[in-house]
Order: sequence, then C-alpha cells, then structure tokens
Amino acid sequence: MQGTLPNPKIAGRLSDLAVGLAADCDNPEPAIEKLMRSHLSNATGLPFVAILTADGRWVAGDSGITSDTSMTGLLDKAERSSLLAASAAVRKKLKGMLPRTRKAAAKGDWKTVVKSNQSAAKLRGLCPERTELRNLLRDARKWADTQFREVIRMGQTGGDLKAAAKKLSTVKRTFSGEPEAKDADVGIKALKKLEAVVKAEGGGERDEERRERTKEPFAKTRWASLFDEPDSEESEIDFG
Amino acid sequence: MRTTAITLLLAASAAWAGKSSHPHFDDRGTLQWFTELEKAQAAARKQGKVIFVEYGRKP
Repeated sequence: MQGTLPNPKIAGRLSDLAVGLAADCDNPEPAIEKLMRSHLSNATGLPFVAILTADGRWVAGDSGITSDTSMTGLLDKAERSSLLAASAAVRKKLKGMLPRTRKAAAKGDWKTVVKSNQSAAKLRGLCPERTELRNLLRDARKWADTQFREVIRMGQTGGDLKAAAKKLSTVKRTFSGEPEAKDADVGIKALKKLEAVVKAEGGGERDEERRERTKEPFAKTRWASLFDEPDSEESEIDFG
Repeated sequence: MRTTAITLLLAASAAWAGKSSHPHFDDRGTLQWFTELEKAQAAARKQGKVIFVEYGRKP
C-alpha cells in the first residue's frame, strides 16, 4: 500500500476521488468491521481496502492489495459503479460550467477555475465533464506550485521579499477556501520572519544560528527552506 | 488562540506540501486521512468525494 499510493498514475485518480480512512484491524469501529465482514468474507491477506460512498454504502473492495495493477483495477471498478455515476441533471450543470472554465484556464484566470470546481464539488457523481473540470483545476494547482517555488527561490537568493509576499497574497486570493490558501498564508508569515532576519544581518554575513532558530516553527512545511542557501540539501524539499 | 491558529495553519500546510497524514505509513500526501468514519464521512460530503478505507495492522 505504501508503495502503491504515491504512484503518480494512482495518486492523482485517488485524490480526485476520495478522502482516506485508516482503520486499525485490531481495533476497528463496529460499522467498518461489519462492512468488511459482509463484503470481504473470504478475504485473507491484509490490507483490506474498500471504497464507500460518503454515506457509507459499499462501492468496491478487495484484500491484499499491494500492487499498482490491483489498485488500478479497484479504481476502475469504483469509477464504473452506478452508485457514483452523475445523474443527467448533474452532467448538464457541469457541462454548462465547462466553456467559461476552459476559457478562464486558457488565459490563466485560475480563480475562476477554482471557483468552478468548488461549485462542481457541491454536485454529486462522476462523469467526463467532472474529469475535465478537475484536470483544469490540476493546471491551476501546478501554477500555484510554481509560484511557491519561485517565492522560495526569491527568499534564498536575496530577492525582493515584498514582491514575494505579493505573489503569495495572489495565490491566497485565487485559492480561497483551498489548501493552497493556507499554505500561502504560512508562507507570508515565514517571509515576514525572514525579512526580520535579513534586516538583523544588516547586509553582512548570514547569521546561521538565528536562521535555524527562526525557521524551526516552519520545519514541517516547504517554507523552512526559505531560510536556507540555494541548492543546499535542506532546501531540496520533496513536494510529493 | 493565536498559537493554535498558527499550529493549525502549519499542519494544513504540511499536509499540502506532500507530507503524509496517514497514521502508520508515508503516502507522500496522496490522501487526506482520517481515523474515524464519522470524520471521514463529513470530509467526503463536504468535498464531494467517496471514502477510501485502508483496513490494516499497525506496523
């Protein structure tokens, strides 16, 4: 499972489709245990995996899933399930969103792309129209990631920190209500701290001790690398 | 209150930056993980998603 989930071909599909529930088989919630027993009664090897609707109905499941092929098969089965198919009314609404969302993406108006997807998330069901909207959102997320990387480069190379903060404010506005907005907000806080460090250094040598101390609260975020030198090992964050 | 808010922001940012929220293994940030069905259901409803259940044993 650990090796399968991060596979880019699986990760994208799965994260578009689901949130995760990590259930401990030695201490399961009764509802989950009941579902597993009734739908995977002949299962032997761990882990058992299942895909449920948000209201807890069984869509698909299998046991001993440890390969990319078996995981892909499970996702194929879930995506074909009539339980997850969008109704004709939903498809019509999503289809109506597509022209303006495509147009927005073409000119880099990512805010409109994000808003369209937020509206689409309120409608239930899978269909090609939803897939296209999600693909456009993926492009928006790539843009945000590029902005984040550029801000880190600016911070590491003594660039204009106010301009860097402005970039993050734009991402924050564009992705209001999304994880990127929270990430940008943390980045803005980190930039303020970096600005204070740079000011204290007064154009002289880098105060590594102060930098280490200041970056500590950001250790589990991408923004810790703002305080590093470019191309240092610590700045090589794995963005997954 | 302020400290809590910053902690929550940092946690959310960590999840987004490819850090795993799975309690037992590193999925490189593929999914937002929960350990209680009710919470997973609430998130799935809010995000228009389904629930991927991984039923396994602690390493």
